[in-house]
Amino acid sequence: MPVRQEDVVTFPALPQYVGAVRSALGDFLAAAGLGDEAAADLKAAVSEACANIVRYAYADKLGNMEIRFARKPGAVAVTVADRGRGFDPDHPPRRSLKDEDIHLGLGLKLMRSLVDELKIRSGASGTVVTLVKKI
Amino acid sequence: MGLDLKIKSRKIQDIPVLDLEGEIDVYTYPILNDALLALIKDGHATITVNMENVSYIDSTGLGVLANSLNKIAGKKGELRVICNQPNLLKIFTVSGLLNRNLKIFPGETEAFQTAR
Repeated sequence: MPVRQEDVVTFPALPQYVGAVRSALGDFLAAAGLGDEAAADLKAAVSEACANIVRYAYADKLGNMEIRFARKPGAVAVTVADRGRGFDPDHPPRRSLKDEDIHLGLGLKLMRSLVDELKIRSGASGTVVTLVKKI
Repeated sequence: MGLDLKIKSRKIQDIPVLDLEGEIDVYTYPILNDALLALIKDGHATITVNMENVSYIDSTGLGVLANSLNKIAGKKGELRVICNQPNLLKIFTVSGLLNRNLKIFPGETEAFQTAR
């Protein structure tokens, strides 16, 4: 079976779809030849990027998250994009969800530690997070 | 679309144990949050969270554990987490929670040896 070089999935930015992103990425990574540990790291980092969209990007409005998986020479790159309100990666927002206080900074910290390269481009028209994991 | 998180509750040496199965993320975290808050409300300061059958935890789940740690702080209790999956241990290490009163044990035996 030929290995797909690129795949794109789009889901509503709702909590129940973040697991579906991990599942879709897992299928892609298995075909791309990423090892188990690296695949787990990348799935966790991508899931954090999606969770950030769910928690912060659209406030109380509905929106989508688009996840693009691409196989590069020696690496897998994933971009996670939204058209939400954006944020300053150097001063991430804090927001309470139910009873617990969750800092977006923890999600960013996890992402940085789990991938080989992390780029965040964010502005008034949305955010694009690029995560690269070496094969 | 979401994946499940199932929780069963029991006690060992009068310490509550939550056996988790599934994934803890931005969708499933309220299930864990509710279970922990109920135990704390009942007066339990030491709680064991068995994550042997958990395949993933995100920053939302870590936030739930951090919140529980805040609530039991000063009550001479602790949060014991049973976990030996390398991918989860890495997330716990990066999170900084291990510097607080959260203790990780590789199995149930080790988690309850400290209680004696």
